[in-house]
Amino acid sequence: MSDRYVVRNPETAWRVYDGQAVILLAGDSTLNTLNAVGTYIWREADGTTPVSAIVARVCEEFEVEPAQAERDSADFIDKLCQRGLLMVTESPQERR
Amino acid sequence: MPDLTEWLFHKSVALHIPLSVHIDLTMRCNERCVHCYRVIEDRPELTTDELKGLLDDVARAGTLYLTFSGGEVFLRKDLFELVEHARRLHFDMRLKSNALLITPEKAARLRALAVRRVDISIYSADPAVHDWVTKIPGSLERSIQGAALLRDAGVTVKLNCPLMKQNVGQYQDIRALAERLGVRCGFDPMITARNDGDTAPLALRITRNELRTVLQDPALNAACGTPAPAASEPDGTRTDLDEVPCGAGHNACYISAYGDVMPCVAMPIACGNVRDEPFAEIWHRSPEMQRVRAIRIRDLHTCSSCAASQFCSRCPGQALVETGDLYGPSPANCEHALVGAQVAGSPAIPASMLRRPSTAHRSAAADALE
Ligand code: SF4
Ligand code: SF4
Repeated sequence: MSDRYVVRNPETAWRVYDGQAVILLAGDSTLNTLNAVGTYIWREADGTTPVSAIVARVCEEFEVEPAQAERDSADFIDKLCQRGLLMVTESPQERR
Repeated sequence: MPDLTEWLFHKSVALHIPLSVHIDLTMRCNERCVHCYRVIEDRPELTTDELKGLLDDVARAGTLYLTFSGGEVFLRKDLFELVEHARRLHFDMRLKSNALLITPEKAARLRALAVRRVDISIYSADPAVHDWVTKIPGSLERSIQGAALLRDAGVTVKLNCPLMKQNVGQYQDIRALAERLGVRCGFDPMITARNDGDTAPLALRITRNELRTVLQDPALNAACGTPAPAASEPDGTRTDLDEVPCGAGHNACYISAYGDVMPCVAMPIACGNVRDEPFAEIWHRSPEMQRVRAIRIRDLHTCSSCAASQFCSRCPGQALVETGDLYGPSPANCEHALVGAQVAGSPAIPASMLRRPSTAHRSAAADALE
């Protein structure tokens, strides 16, 4: 199965405070906050790192079983895509 | 959702993060508003490179909310270069403008850069009044046109209207104008003295009766007719004495077009200049910033025992500009609180109006108690 890539929506504004990401989407003042694992994925979502590589790093950083990490990451990415914060692509983005 | 905003406020205050930074990009303006509080100085304004370096520093300090204002921001030729740089640093961006120079191309570019909102100053729906305030014939028409271009490009627009004697009778027309345009609007009854202490703009302030009319309108005062939340014990003692008075110097910061760093746009206390030392140094270590940061409500000599505090949005910057006393009440805020309490059917009287030492305040008290 081909790998997927996640990239932060360029219309987001965000910062990480105390290991917790705080994210806003332009045109909407709703705040979104992420937990430590979510924040890790968010930071890695540069559009050039395959999701599988991000999941592998999550396993290392947070000592999670690979199957569990894969499931949780997929759920998390889906949720953030639904909120319009992340976007999934089939091929890597050009580095800016 | 409001809890997340509150969480972020408290977190940023606890961590000393300048969550909201307001930068004036220029003091130059293409309007000449009668109430303007800005002071043009004979110093060079920050250059493009200085501003980009400042944005890098401010992003590192943790700022999320960034406002570019002025003067008129579109008079800076490098505005888009700066907005682009800021968005690359992931700031949430808001611009304040009179919209006179908006074109379809500029509006589309702001949308593409995901600027969250543009606030446009509108003083009346009547060109005679608006143009009298700005001193620029045709300015209302052009500002409305600018607002429509931004709206059409998909940029969120808010019309901001400071209420003064000349326009207070027309605020409903401005609201109708905003509705017609399909944009938001907001009103501010607080006209301030100029930052150099010149009190001339205060003559434009609305009267107590006019303020009452405004505060009695549920559309402008959401709390109208509802009892205010208790911020004090039944005996009038405030329960928030250990709280910070506001975000100034805690999570809010202002940087002037000349590089002066201040605790808030409304609090003209120069704490250092980014041309002399890095932003973080001024933010964390300037004695002036630390003095502002150390203030708690219990340190406010009159306000700490004020029974009308729940009707008051005391602004320490306003107090400083009006009276020179950062620790004292702001007479304009007291006036607002008194009327707010009356509108809510509360007998609370601002503490400043109950004291006797100053004759000025004695007459205000007598006036208030009538
Ligand atoms: S209350 Fe006044 S000084 Fe404090 S943050 Fe608000 S505007 Fe600034
Ligand atoms: S009403 Fe006046 S005295 Fe009371 S808290 Fe507000 S500014 Fe202070």
